[in-house]
Amino acid sequence: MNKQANAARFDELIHAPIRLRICASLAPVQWAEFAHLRDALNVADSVLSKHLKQLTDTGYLQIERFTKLGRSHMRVSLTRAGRDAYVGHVAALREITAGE
Amino acid sequence: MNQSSQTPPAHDAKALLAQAEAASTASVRATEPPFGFLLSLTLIWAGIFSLYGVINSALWYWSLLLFLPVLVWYIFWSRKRAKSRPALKHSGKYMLGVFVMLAGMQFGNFWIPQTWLLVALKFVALFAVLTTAFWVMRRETITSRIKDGNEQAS
Repeated sequence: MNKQANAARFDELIHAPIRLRICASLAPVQWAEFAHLRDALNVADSVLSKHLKQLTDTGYLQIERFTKLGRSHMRVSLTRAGRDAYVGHVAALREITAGE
Repeated sequence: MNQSSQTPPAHDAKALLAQAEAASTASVRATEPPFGFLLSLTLIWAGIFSLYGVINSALWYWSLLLFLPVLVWYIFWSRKRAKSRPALKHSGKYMLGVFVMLAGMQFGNFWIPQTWLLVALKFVALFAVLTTAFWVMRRETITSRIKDGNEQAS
């Protein structure tokens, strides 16, 4: 079941702006296709691939490849660990700004 | 894992939070039905239900087919979008929107207009009530989904 994330946890991997935006884009959806993500973030394929790989290697993202009408597609989603890390990171940023 | 003692200064954190919020908002808006879709749905809905009891009942039931093109449009539109994560909890304003929508539908069933002028009045009333209800529900869903995405751990 879902629970409120209480632990604010600063995450160095998610801290990079592009990776933060990737996680922020994926947080309110179940999954997004690579092309959607690339268009939404307005970045090049190679840049997005590099950051997705880093997040996937850490276990924060899950990538599913499939073929539809003869064309290959890539579906990206946050894993449970990725969602926890992102929510914790946002909470940590909020704690920092709260003391301003 | 990946924790760091190097936390950013407050103004950087604020800018990062704004970026995250903008990305989340864009993601949610891209997966919620566009307002044009809701407006088309409301127009057809108000049109059909304002004619309830006025035209021949067989013709009235056939008129429900007018929903079909809008639904086909929505299905094709949603195929090109990310799969949305449903809001985990709806706000009180959302529930109020649902109540107003249901009340509007009941009102549409009970009021059988006797003249074409009253049909037009019923259409305007239904359109106003349903548009307001859908607008509130859509806005509250967007807000709840952004909040869930940024605050709810798995």
